[in-house]
This record gives sequence, C-alpha cells and structure tokens, in this order.
Amino acid sequence: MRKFIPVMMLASAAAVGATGCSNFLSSNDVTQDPNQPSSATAAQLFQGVQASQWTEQEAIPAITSCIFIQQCSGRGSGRFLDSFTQYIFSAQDFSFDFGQMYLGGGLIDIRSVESATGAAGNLGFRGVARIYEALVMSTAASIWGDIPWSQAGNPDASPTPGLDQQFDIYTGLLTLLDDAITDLAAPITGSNAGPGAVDLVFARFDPNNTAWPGQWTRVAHTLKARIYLHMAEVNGAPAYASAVTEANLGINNINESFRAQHSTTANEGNQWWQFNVTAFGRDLTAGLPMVNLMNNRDGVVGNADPRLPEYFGCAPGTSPCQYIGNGFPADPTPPSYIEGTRNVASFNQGLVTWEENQLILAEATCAPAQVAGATGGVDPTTVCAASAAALNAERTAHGLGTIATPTIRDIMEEKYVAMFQNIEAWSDYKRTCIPTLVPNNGTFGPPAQIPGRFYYGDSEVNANSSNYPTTAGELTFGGSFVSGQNIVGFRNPDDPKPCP
Amino acid sequence: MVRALRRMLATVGAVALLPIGLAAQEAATIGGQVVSQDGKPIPGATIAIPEMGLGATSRTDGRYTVTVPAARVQGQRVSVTARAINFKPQTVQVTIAPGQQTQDFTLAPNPLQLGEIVVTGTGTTTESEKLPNVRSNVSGEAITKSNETNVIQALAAQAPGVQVSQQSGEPGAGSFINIRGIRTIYGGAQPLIVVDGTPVNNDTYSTGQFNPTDELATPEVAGVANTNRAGDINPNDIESVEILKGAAASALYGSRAASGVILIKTKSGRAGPTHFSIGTSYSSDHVQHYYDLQTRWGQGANGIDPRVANPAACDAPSGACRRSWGPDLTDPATAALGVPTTIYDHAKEAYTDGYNSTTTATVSGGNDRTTFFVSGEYVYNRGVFVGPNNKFQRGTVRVNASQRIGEAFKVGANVSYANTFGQFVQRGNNVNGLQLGLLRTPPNFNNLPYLDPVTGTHRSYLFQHPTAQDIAVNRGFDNPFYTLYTGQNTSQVNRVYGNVNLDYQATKFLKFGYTLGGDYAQDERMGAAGQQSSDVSVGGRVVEGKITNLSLDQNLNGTATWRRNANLAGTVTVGTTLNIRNYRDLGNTGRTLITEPPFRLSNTVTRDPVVDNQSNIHNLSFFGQATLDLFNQLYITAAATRFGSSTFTSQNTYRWYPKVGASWEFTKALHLQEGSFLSYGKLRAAYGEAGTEAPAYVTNTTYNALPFFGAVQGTSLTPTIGGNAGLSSNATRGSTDLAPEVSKETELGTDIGFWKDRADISFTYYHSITDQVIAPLPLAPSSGFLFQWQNALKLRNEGAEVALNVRPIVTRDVSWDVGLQWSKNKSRTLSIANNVNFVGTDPAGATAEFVQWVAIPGEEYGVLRSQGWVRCGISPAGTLGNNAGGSDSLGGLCAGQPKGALYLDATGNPVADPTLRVVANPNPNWLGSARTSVRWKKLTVSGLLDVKNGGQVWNGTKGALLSYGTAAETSTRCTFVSGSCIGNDKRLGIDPVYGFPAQPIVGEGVGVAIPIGAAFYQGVAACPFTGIDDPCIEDGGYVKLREISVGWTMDYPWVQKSLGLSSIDVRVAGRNLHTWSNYSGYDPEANLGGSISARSADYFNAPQTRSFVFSVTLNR
Repeated sequence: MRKFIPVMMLASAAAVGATGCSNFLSSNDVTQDPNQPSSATAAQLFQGVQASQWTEQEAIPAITSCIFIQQCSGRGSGRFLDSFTQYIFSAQDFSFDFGQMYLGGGLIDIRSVESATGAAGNLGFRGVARIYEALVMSTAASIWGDIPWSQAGNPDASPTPGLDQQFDIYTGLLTLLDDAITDLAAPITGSNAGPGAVDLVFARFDPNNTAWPGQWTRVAHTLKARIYLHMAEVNGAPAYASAVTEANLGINNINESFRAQHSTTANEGNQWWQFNVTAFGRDLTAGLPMVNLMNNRDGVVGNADPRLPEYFGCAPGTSPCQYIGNGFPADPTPPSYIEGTRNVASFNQGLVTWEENQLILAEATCAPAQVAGATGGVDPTTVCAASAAALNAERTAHGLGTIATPTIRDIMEEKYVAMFQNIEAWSDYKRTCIPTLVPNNGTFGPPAQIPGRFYYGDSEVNANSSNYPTTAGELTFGGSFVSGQNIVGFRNPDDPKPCP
Repeated sequence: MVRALRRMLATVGAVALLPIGLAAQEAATIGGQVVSQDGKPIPGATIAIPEMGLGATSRTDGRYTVTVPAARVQGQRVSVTARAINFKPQTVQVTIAPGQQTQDFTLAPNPLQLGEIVVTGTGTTTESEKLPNVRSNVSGEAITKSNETNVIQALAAQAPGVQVSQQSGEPGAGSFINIRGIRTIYGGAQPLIVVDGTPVNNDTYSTGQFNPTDELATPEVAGVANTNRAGDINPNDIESVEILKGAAASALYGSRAASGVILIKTKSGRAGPTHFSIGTSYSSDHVQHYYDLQTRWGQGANGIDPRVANPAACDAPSGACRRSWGPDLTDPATAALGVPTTIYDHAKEAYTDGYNSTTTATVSGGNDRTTFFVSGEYVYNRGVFVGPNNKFQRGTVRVNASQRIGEAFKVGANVSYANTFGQFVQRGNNVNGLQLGLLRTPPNFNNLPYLDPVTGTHRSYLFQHPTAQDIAVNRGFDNPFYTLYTGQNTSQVNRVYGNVNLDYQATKFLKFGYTLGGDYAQDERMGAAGQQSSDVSVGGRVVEGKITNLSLDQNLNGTATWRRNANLAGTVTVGTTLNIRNYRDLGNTGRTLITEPPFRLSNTVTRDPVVDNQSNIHNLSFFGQATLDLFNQLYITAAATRFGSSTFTSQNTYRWYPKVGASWEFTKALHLQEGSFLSYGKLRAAYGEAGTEAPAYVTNTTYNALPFFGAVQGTSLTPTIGGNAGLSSNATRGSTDLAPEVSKETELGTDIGFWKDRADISFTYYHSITDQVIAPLPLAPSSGFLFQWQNALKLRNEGAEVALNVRPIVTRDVSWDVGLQWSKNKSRTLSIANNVNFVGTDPAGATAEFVQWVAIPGEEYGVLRSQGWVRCGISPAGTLGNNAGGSDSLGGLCAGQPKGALYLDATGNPVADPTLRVVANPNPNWLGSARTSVRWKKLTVSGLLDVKNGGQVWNGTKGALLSYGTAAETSTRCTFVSGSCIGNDKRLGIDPVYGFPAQPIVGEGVGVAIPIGAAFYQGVAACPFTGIDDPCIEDGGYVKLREISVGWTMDYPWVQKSLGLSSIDVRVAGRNLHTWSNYSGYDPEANLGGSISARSADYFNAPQTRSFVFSVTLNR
C-alpha cells in the first residue's frame, strides 16, 4: 500500500498544479462575460435609442404631464396616479425617467451613434441621431430645467457632469439641429447611406423611400420651432418670430409626422396601451377639462370633437355613449378611460407631428402681439387673424370647422386637444396658461399650483449631489440655482411666471 | 504563485515518504470498552494514540480495538485518549507491548463540551478549550427536534448572534440567516454553508428572473416563495453544526467568509452490529394568525354600491367597485336597495389544515476498518392553502462510507442525492397573488364559486358576471380561488452533492487530508397563470426556465503535530483549496395560451426574449495554520490564507487573510481545588480577516438587448423592433479596479463554569470593520451609467453575546437544564465612496427595490429611506415655503418644539415632506432565546422561546388594506351624507388613529378633528400607494414560542424482547405555537423577499403556521 502513497500524493499535487495553472483565475472563461456582447454597432445602438426614447416619451413623463394639465386624471384611484393628481411625489418617482434620458438607449448611446457614423462618413445617419439628441435633451430641459448636457455621457472625463443652464441647452440644441440639417443635406452616396432599415420611422416600413433626408430635415425644423417656443415666455417676440421661420420649413405633410412605431408583437406595443392593460390601467381616466372641452368644442354645447372616440372610451354604463371626465374631487359617476380607438398596441404615437407644426405656426404668428403679462400666460382673447390658415388646416384635417378670426384661445385649445398624450402639451400650458385649469387641492404645499417641473432624479442627486439643489430648494426656488433666477415656486427658468 | 504551490506540494509529498522503511516486529492490540458513569456503552467514541497517529472508533456496544503495527511496538509508553460528544475526554498511559491488552474507559459528563474536537474549517480541527473564538455548536438532536424541514430555519434561536427569519409558513418557503449583523451587500449577507468540508450552494432563485419584462425590478417581491438550496439537506442526516461567526473564526475561507461559515457535519457509521432506524413523523399545520378584516361595510365608494344604479357596474374593473367604502351592510336600508349583505369570511376562507409527513430510515454499521451509513428520507408537506397547488416534497438518499486501508490510510465517500418538488402559490406584489386578491375582496362578495356557474369563466369581485367570451379579459385582481386552483408554479430540483475524502497518517506526527467535493443541482422552474388571469397575465402566461449549478471543491492539507514536553506542544497545518463554480440559467416567458392546459411555452402565442446566463467563478487558496499549546493552559493559534478569486480585476486577484487568537484556561493557573465554586474559566481573544468576492464579470462593460422598462410592471419596449436587432449600453459600467472587501474582526470573551459545571456562562464582545465593501455604487445617470461595482463602503458592526446555561438538577433519573441566550449587534455605515449619499442594500441596486433599504453614512445599516411627513427638526428649511417676510415657515412653527413634532396643516392633516429621509430601522435592538429541558427517566420535556426586541417592519399590506377599506381599523369610519363624510372625527397626534400614535404636534391644524374614513385612509394612510411610508412603520419585535416537545425513549426489555427492537422513540411536539407581538399584520417575521432581499417588508406575504407534531422512531 505504501507504494501507492507517494503516487497518490503526487497525483494530487499534479491535479492541483494542473488546474492551478497560470490562468486559472484569469482565463477568458472566468473573466469575460459570456452573456452580453462587449461591442455594438451604430445600427444596433440606434435601434436601442429609438426603443428607449419612445418608451420615455410615452411612459411616466407623458402620463404625469397628462395628469398635471388635466387631460387625464388619476383621482380616486387611491394609488400612485392619485398621488400625482394631488401633486404628491418625490424625487424617487422620476428618478428612472431622468436616467432614461442619459443611460443606455439615451444620450450615451446617441453620442456613440453620432461619433461612429460621423467617423464612417455616414452623415445622413448622424443627422438623424442628432435630431434624437435634440428631442431627448429638449424634453429633459423642459421638464427639469438646468441639467447636465455638455459634460454628460462622458464618464471618464466627467463622472459627475456639471449643469448646463436651460437656455444654454436650448441654444445648443438649435445649433445641433442646424448641424443635423447640414448632415441631411449631404448627397446620399457611398458611405453616406443613411440609417437605412434601422430608421424605423421613415425607412423601415418603406425600403423604397428615398425622401427620408427631407422628411427628417423637416422634423428638425419643427423641433427647432418647438424649442423657440420653449424660450418664448422669457425671450418674447424674437423667439416667436424664429418659431414661425422654422415652422414654415417644418413638417408639411400629415403623413410625414415623426411617430413612434409600434406593433402587436410582444414588447413592441404602444406604451399607453400597455399601461392600460396592467392593473394600473383603471387608475387612469379622462380628465374633466379635456372631456368638457372636447364635448363642447368652440364653446358650443354638444359640438363634440371627432377625436373623442379616438381618445376615450364611453363612460361605463352609459348608453348611448357618453364621455365623462374625472374632476377634483372625483365625481362619483364612473369616468371614461383612455381606451379610445387609438388605444391599441399598434398605434404609432406622434412625437413631433404635422399638427404640432401647424399649431406652432398659428401660435407663433399671433403671439408676438400679445406676449405674456405679469401674471403669466397670454391674453386668451387676443385675436389671431393671421393664424387662421395654419389653424384651420389642422382643424379641418380632424373634422372640425374653420374659424375665420381665431383667438389665441382657439389655437391653444386645439393644440391642447391635438397634443393629447404628448409631453409637449405641458410646456404649451405652462407658457400660455390655456386652457384655464384649476389646480387640484393636494398636499403639494401652499399655495397649490399646477407643477411646473419634476424633481431631479433621486439617483442623479445621490451620485452628483454637488450639481443639484436640495429637494426643498427645488420646491421653493425652482431649479435654477445656477442661473440665479429667483423663480417663485416649483418652476424652471423658461417658465418664470406661474399660471394664475 | 504556481511555482510556490508546486514547491509546497513537493515538500508535502516528500514528507509523505517518511514512514516507508520502518522496521517490523510483533503487533500489539489494545482493546476495551468505553462506558458512561452509569455504565452505559458509548458508541462512536474515538480512541486515539496521538503520538503514534493511531486510533479507532467504539462500536455500538462501546467496545474498541486499536492495533499497533508490529514494526512500531517498542515497549514505549504512550497516551491513549478516549473522546465522545457530551463526555469529558479521558487519557491514560499505556505501555505498548506485543500481544493483547485491555484498557477500559469510563467517561464523565461534559456539559461544557471541553475536550471535544471542533472542526474549524478547511480540514483543520482543534479542541474546544483551545478555541480563541466563542463556540456556537448546534447538535443534530436540536436540529431534529425543531421539526423544521429546512435546516436553516432549524437554527432559529439556537445560537446567540444568529438571526433566522422565515419567508412564510408555506411549504418550501426559504429562510434567511445572518450572523452578527449584515456586513456585506453582495452575496446576501448569509454565511457560507459547508457540508463535511465541502462548500455547498445555499442560493435562492426567483422564477421571476426568467420574466424580466414583468418583474425586471423586483422579481423577489412578487411571484412565489422560493426555497433556499440548503433546504435540500435532510435535517436528520446532521450530526452537528458548528457556526463560525466572524472573520476571526472564518478567515481560512478567505473571500467567501465575511458573513461567517456554517459547518455541517453529517452522521457516519460506527463499528459494530448493523443498526437500523425507521422513523415517521406527522405534523398538523395551521395558520397561526388570521388577518383582521372589517365585516361591516360593503363594496363601493362614497357609501354607495354602484350596482344599485347600474347592476352591471362591477362587471368590469372600475374604481367605484375596487374598494369597500360602500354602504353599511348592517343597515336594513342597504338590503332594501338590493345590495348583497351576506358577509363572507375572507380572512379564513382560503385556508385548510396542512400537514407534514416525514419518513426517515437509516442503516449504519461497520467494523474496525469499514463503516457505512445509509439514510433515506421522504417529506411530503401539504400547505395550509386550499386547492391542489400548495405542497412541497423532498426525497433524499445519502451514503457515507469509509474504508481503512492499511493502518494509516482511510478513504471515504459521502454522497447525497436530493429530489425536491415544490408547488407554490403566487403571492406578494402581484395581482395574481393569493393574499392581494383575498384580503382586498369586499366582505359582501362571495369569492366562491370562482368560476361563474353559468358561463364557467373566472369571476372576481371586480368582474362579477363574466360572459363565456370573457376569456382574455383583465379581471382587475384574480379571484383568490382562481389563483389557488388554476395557477401552476413549480420547482423541480435534482441535486447531488458530497465528496470523496482521504486521510493519511503518514507518520505519528504527520497527517494528510484530501477532499474532493462536488455539488450539482438542476432546478426546473415553471410559473403559469391561466388564460383568465389579470393584468400582465391576461390571456395566460407561462414562464419556464432551468437553473443549473455545478461546484467542484478540492482541499488538500497536511498537519504536523508535535509535543516537546508536557508544557510545550503544537501543530502546523498547510494546505490548499481549489474551487470551481458554474452557474447557468435558460428560460423564457410565453404569453397568451393557445389552449389551457397544458402550461407549456410551446402552447403560447408569443414569447418574450430568451433569458440566458451563465457564470464561471474560480477560487484558489493556500493556507497555513500553527497552534502552540503552552503549559497545557495557554493556546495560541495563528493562520493565514492567500485567497484568490477570478472575480476581481487582475491586479487584485489575491489577498492575504490572517487570523491570530489565544485562549487561556486561567483556572488551571489558579490550581483550584476539586469542587471549587469556579470549576472552569477561560479567557479568549482573537483577531481575523475574511472577505467577500465580487459577482462574476462585473469588470466588463457590456451591452444588452433587454427591454426598456415602461411606466409600471409589465410594460416595456424591446430594442429589437420589427426584426431589427438592437442593443443598448448596460447601465452598469465595468469596474476597472475591484479588490476583495475585507472584514476585520476582533473578538474578546470568556467562558466560565460554576458549581461543578452545574452552570456556565459565556460572554463575547466583538468589533468588526468591513472595509472596501463591494457594492453597485451609484453613478450619476447623466454620466451614462447608473452603477459601477466598486469597493464602495465602510461598515462597522459591534456587539455582545451572552449565553448562560444552568443545570440545577443532574441525577441519574432526573435532570433539568435551562439555557438563556442574548445578543446585541449595532451596525453603522461609516462611509461611502465618491460622496454618494446612499447605497441600496439590494445587490440589484437601489432603484430596483420595492422598499428602499439603504446604507447611509451615520445610520445603522439597512435603514428604510422614503418619504415621511413634515416634521420639526427633520424636514429641511423651505419645505413649507417662506413667510411674507422671507423667513422659513416651518422654522417659525417649530421654534421651541421637540424634534420630530408632526406638522398639521389647517385642515388637521399632515403634509408630505418631499425630501427623502430615513423613516424606519429594521435592525433589532437585541435577540434572545430561552430553552429548558426536564428529563425524568426516559421522558423528556423541553421548550424554546425566541425573542426579538425592536426592529421595525414596513407594513405595506396594512397600508393597502386601509386604502381598500377592508382592514379591521376601517370598521369604524365616517359615513357619507350628501356627498360628505361625516363622523369619526379624530385629532391626529391626540386621538388614536392607525399610523398616528400620540405625539408632539405643531401647526395650524393642532386640535383640528378630521373625519377618519375613505379620504383619510386612501390619501394619508395608504403608504404603498402614496409613497409616504411614515404611517406604515410598525414595531417588529416578538416573543415566539418556537417549540414545546415531549419525548419518551422506550428501551425497556419488553421492547427488545417482544418487538426485537433496541428502543422506540416517541415524541409529541408543538412548533411555532404562539407569537406575542404588537405587530398588526400576519407576523412580524415579515420577510417578503425571503432569502433574497426586501426583508422586514410585508406586502401580502403569506401567514406563518403553527404545527403539532407526532413522531415515532424505531431503532434496532
């Protein structure tokens, strides 16, 4: 037996020695992630960007802004949408959404696409990516005010990105959109092939479409017009004039709007529809001002807006069908849910649309004459005769009659209806205070106002605390501690005057 | 490093050759019997001649034989020591001479466990009095007596400083164990489990991990209860459990031991006649505490049942039907309106009596050279929920055999096979969950039959009259009986684990040990909801997946024992371990069942993206340990492990983990007289370091194809759209510098015996600093990443443990002993890197948590960060805005008021503070237990109390049920008159209202009474929905009567003569008989996430159960 002992010991030693070879702890098997790729192409990332940002544009920011401006209501549900309706929320509630603007599928990947396509000479693709950056960051700046942009998405150089002032971001994005327009003007030849099939908006479903550079160019102009309007409450007439200029170059065909593309395939469905299917779907109902406005268009009782059945379902138990909004406090009558004909998985949500472009043109054409007063908003009675053409083109496209001499109220009420489920509608209200809304009596803090912004994302404050105000600071002074503007209430620099 | 290893092994191999070539003469045989003081044979005692490296084990009749090879018989005088568990060792001097000689041993009781051999890990052992750490040993008998199916749960209240919490009373529900406070984030803060020298998997997996679309953020708080894999161990196989509590004890396990190590030793065969044992036990299980629900108010809103105006109002989910704020069911006018007024007992209707039937069998025996132990077990645990889908089965087989080859070589194999099958019921934050649908049901809705008697389709209180066509239509919440009878949630595990081991006594002073162990398990999961389910399961949903774990572990060690003289001795051990772990999962979610049944992925219309992961982790370590025994009373131990793991960045692969300790039996120095008051005394001190390794591959920056989360659970958009493949940057950035985290622990203590060992007390103080804690450190999202695994935190844990045992009566026929244990741990987060304010304690990251337990510098670890009410001295300036003059409104109101005073606005309501803060601390103030045992001849009665003082629980269940108007507290409420809720006026902070105990209050609303009813309970008290958790925090302290048992051992002559048995053990016991607590939910041992996370959170958890057990074991 003893003869075996050294043999066995040596065998053991050999076993250990063999397995303990130099790369036992460092071979690729144990150090390289076998589950996830370590590289991605621009086309693959651009797919992710579209999915991520369409989600963002249709999920919590859209639902919450819909509630804030009372197109929707969560009142009476007793759950988180009820809290939003009462303006009870914290930095945790919007942390995810703040992050989604920047994280994978957001700015960091958009910048990667821009960089890779630029280096490859695919300027058309880069132009489209730049438009996405402008859409994402202008939305973020509209919601949160001063946010990181110029240093964002660069973790090595700027692990804790500093803030850019909201107006600097707007100005920068206008330049970026000009760059995008220049990119899109480059001849489509050779390496400049554009995004091709990964452009899910204009190319994926129409491979023979060669008009995509022009279509995206017009989207860029409409976005520029939108951004000028964001600046109008502060900058006044010049901003409106620029908006008119851009809108005239903007989307000119109702079929060429920039829409999120959805289908009935799993995980490709419209987010509003997906939300409606969940247990929380019954928490979101039609808002009272919205339904009242659509039931009685142009101040005429019973003059129903043709889009009512698109947006909302009949109130439960009503026959014939009635559309009933949920007010504050909640009416005991069961209200309509967000389950009109567009509440289907495959509805392509408009993000930057021909309707918006028309109504920007209408508003901006009129507004220089009656820039907001001291109490915020615009004078709703202001007559906008020059805006009639733009407004009426949009109205007739949706089955409404024309108005020969519209007022700014007519324009903004139509925009309030047309921009349903679009975050931009919140910005329109903050700027014009039309339609007239009564803040809900929540626990938001005295005096109750319709919130002008969200709290900064909790995750951002947690890891970048030197670049953000405290939550209480946001509540009291707005988010503009960097720019030093003393804005009363929960507002951003582009919205200094709360609605009365 | 490799060279060093090979050099070491070469040395070891060379030493192994030493005995070869020694001379040979005539053998000597020493034999005899080992008996107790009352003359009973002691089986399993070890008889050893340390100087010669020889030994034997006594047979069942206590007899033994040690043969000294002829070549080594030189007439020398040697020490022969007999040891047995629960007996003091005895050493005699024997002269080795050719031929046979007899040496009997009579061993005295050993209540202080002195002289017992204690396994200290990685093949090292020592005697208990030489341990520099406190010893926490749990006997196999205590494990068996607990009647717990899960060995981890059986450790509850068995050792000070060890906290065990069970997810629920459901069959197969997992248990979480923590030692001396949580000191790490990754790895779940649970100790390493080692069975017979081989680490085994104790992870817990959620089926929800295969369904990231619906459960991306919180798979652990929905779905079903999940079993921790230590639940595959047959508790009856366990001989003893040693708990290595801190780094000072567990350092040899390197980067896997910061949370301690649990060493399980399984039973083995003994030389002697073959011994048979067949046992069966049956327990009757019952819900320990039913939920308190109101039974007065019916379905509806604003005091109105919507069905009065519209009989079809509740035939589709709607807000007006969701809650129980309807009419008074005791008012005759209500019935007159046609409102159903029959009350249904939803608190109890879903339960029945459960049971647990366990059958065990063992065969063991052997001879001086061969031993074997074969065991089998079958457990069938039927839960307390009605329906066919609440059960857990486990079958295990274990073979443990050893063969002595020659005089110096022993080879053994110890292999277990376990097959478990669990059928579980959906629970937690989940509209398909049993409790959520059950407890929210209005008292005047009959959940039965759950299928409409006319159409045969699923009816629920939100969808009361479904048509035959209403198949794939959302019910709002599932009828609880639909959940119970239709849902299929299974886990099928096949697992083999064990090892082969070799012992070689190379010389009289040199011994080698080698263990090659493996642990392979495959867990097949299925979670299916029927076609008529609600929410994300509308149309039916099937989640299927497989989880495969493979672990290989090799340990080679050599120990040299030396003794210079009576006052100077010691040991030197060197060794190496190698560990390979491979994890693999593969699963998918299918939606919309084509037909029902079968519940199979192939029977669904669409499939989500496949979930497909694997990981490989390698460890390699080298260790050495030296002990020094001075004057037979001072024992010094020093050791170091060089531990390497593949999970760190390359520059940090290895780290040294040292430990050093000393124990001094000072009573030996005092030369106390026999019978002195102080019978034994020992001081001990130890210092050690142990670590935690990182997750695999977190050093990689990668991309993924995961869907983007939408507004709520179940909503998302995939980056692969229209057939175009998409990717996005992972939110977690690859780490560029990741090193082991290290716990550095100092432990001081004393063990003292009194009154001839009639009493003993053990006191231990420990102080631990865990530095470079590995965590997903939050990054600024604007940087493009959300997390990066880093050495991010510094934590401190310090505490004390006391154990007192008293044996007032110790006679041949009667004995009585009492044991008290107490421990206190205080943790603190000392710092977080990069000026980050807080880190979530869930490895998935703070944003993924259902309830955000966090580490915040200056606070105890794991506190709850959330929203609270505006309070003086807590809410920041500016929270209520400024006065006209510009001064802070809150500051003016709070001047002169105590910190924490609650602000009430003019309406008498509190105001939400938007600034997030710490609102609860789940950590207990102290833990304790008391046990006693009284024996009269063959009859033993014992009991065990488990005490947890303090530790807050987030009672989200109560918050939700207050909102829904079904909680018992809502039975008294304001009533609607002309649209206004009138009556039940209360002044918050003054009058008793749930969530608002008497407290200092300030503001315009002081003394203003508000009507307590729907508006209050929905808008103020409903923490899960408002996000303001202040009112839902409850004291989670408890006293639990864990166990009372009566055991009777019948070894009477008639048993042996008539039945041919050696004895019959009969036992009647009660488990978890009663809980004393102020907690208003099911149970303060709330543990929503089971052994994953979200502990101390209650959100529609299942209740705990009490059991009455009867067991019989036949022994031969």
